[in-house]
Amino acid sequence: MVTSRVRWFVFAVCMCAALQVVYLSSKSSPAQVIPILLLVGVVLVTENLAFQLPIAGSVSLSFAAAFAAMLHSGPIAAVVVAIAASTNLSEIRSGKPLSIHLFNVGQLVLSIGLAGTAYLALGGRALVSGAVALSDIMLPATAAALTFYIANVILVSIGASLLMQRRFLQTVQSLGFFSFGSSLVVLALLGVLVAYLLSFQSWFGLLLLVLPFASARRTFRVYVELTEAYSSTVRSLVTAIEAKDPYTRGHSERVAKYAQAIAEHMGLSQSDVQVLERAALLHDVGKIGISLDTLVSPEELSEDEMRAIRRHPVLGADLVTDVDFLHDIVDVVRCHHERCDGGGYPDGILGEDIPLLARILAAADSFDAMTSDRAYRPGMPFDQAIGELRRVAGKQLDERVVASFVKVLSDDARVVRAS
Amino acid sequence: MPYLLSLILAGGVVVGWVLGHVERPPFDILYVLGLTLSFAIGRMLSIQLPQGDRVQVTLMVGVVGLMLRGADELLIAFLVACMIDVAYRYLQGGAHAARQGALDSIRSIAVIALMSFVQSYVNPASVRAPEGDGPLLSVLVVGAVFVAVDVLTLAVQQWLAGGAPIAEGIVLLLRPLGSVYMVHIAMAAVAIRVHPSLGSWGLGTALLLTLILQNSFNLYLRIRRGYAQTIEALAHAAELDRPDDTGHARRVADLAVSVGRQMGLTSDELEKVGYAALLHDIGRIGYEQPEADIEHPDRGAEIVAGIPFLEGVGPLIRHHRTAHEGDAPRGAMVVGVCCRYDRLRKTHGSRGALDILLADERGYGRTVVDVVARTVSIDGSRLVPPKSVS
Repeated sequence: MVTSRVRWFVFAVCMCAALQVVYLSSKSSPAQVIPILLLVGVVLVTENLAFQLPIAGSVSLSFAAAFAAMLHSGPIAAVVVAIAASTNLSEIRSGKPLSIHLFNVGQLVLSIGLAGTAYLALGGRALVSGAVALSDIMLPATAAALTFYIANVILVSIGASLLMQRRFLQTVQSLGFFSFGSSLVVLALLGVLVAYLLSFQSWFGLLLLVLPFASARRTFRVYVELTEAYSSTVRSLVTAIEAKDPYTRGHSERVAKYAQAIAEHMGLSQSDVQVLERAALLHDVGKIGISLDTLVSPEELSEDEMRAIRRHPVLGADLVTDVDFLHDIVDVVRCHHERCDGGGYPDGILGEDIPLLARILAAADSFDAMTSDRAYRPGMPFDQAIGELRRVAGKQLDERVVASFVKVLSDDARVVRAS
Repeated sequence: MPYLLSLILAGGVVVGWVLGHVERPPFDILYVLGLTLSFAIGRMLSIQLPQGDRVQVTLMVGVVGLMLRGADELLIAFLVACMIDVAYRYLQGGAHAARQGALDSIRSIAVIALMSFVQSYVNPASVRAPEGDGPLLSVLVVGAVFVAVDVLTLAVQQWLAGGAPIAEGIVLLLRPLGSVYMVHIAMAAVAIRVHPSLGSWGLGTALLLTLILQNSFNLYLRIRRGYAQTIEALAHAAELDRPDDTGHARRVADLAVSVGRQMGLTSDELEKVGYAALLHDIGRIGYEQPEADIEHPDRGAEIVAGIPFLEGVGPLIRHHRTAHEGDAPRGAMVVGVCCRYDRLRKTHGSRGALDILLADERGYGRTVVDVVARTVSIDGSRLVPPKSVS
């Protein structure tokens, strides 16, 4: 929300940025036009999509261009590139409030400007000003990159926390310090290479440098798309397999939602939540081998039929063992019918020996089994099912997991509507 | 292995000649250490190909070393790096992994030794103090030759170990690795171009950027492999519903890809044919016969339609039984014929199945049957399985 506090902050940032630019222009030597135009061109083209570096984090390639401009032609050139970088046409057309656009330009210019000031202060010179040895500029360049990093993080955090009315420290944390920092180091190094190639006027060299990044960016984008589509791919195929038993349609999907909600409430890591989601989607694939008669039989099952059903966690685990990508879920699938008191199957392991994710999956699985209709009985109402969960906590299901689950079900209407 | 020994011998001859006739910079232990470290890191970040094998690419370091330093420094550094790598593999994966690593190390050492001949052509002065962009071109040429030698020796090694024929092996290597090689060559060129001003810092920076870019390709290959294995696992799961049919999808996929390859289908088409064959019966689940026979192609196509990774596979599944009725993609015909062959083989045996198909099919379908007949006769009813869909 754009409050008056936000507007004052944006105004302050832009004023500081303007002052910074004036200061820098008094210190700068005349620069060559062509390299600057080239960098501006590159930046305008690549700003359509922030280039996500594979180490993690999404840092715009523009920083490399601005850094290169600073090293090659001086801080004012860097500012020019920064202005070009922050003027994103599609963003402007998207109708966001003016303050946001001004903030984007202002904070980038200010951050780059401060970096340039640090560079000059520590004795850095532009490559165009003559023969400059690497040892002369190493310290100033490092200081400049560090200054940019700190200034950028602080400005964006203040801006974001004012805008979204969150606490400052929380915003800072969510930025992902380490990934942003490491991306910045890589981009700074790239900028150094670009600056030197520009000073040699090695256009072919620049092409050779840029091509791999363009190629990697395309590949990485496909990688991201494929990774994001992986869960839905598994969903589609699992849905097809679940079509065997009409009573369990959508079961894995619901269990996945419940399990994810519990895991998030318990504060597990993103990667654990993802493993759990996949395990939940695939936990019952092993049932495919069980005959439909057994699955939907309204009567009590025979010894053989029970044995067939008890095999499904092992069968499911065997099926996914061959997928390297899914090796984290194998144990979770295998143990999802184990009980804390050791009375579960297939191995009868106890309490803490059961992987935590499997314990969560067991709770989610039981709950959905209770609340959905089956051939042999209708589904239980939610409150009754929650009572059942409480009843078996400590025996069949893990107490902590049940406590989290009950809290999630009571508080979060979204999860309840998942059914 | 005689092949590797002959490579080493040839390499040794070349290196011996080069060291005797070509001027090189004085031996500097620091450079050796730097090269060793670079090689070692490069070798540890291996790339996993879709076929499953792991490949190590240290092209960038090799090219830079060839252009800037002596062959002696280079070989010593590489040897030490390989030993480190083999030790690391042993700790990670035991004797078998170490043995694989050792075999590949020997080949790689031979390649570098053979490549040292470029030092007789490269003018060290022009490289170390370039006036313009000339050295860039030299690096590109050297890099291209390096790739050619590397890929060729690897393809031959795989062929001798019972893999695909050499020409096909080269294509199977270049498809995933082409971009990675390109990155290595380009970054080697840049590293050498900036070397006079940036020295070892420039080399280190270029190496770091190379490895980061390589990692992005590696992640891409890894997820593709994840998809391929997942789809195969779930296709296998789908079959458990019909115990008499176990293995049918896998057999049809192997046969269809092999037949399709012989019929000149493109690699893209072959990949789609493979997935279509694996998943062609997925639409049967939940249906009883004979409804399943009629409905399952459409239902299978619908299921697959929602999966972007499997774009283009839906039509193949939809038309696999009715390919002769109109303008279905030719891959559908291949899948259909192979599926019928596998089913008929159970009741009528291989010869009987082929007879029935020859009587039934016309036109393109007939050609497919001929190819099937050729393929299965290689090894009776058991096929020599080609490498999986890559």
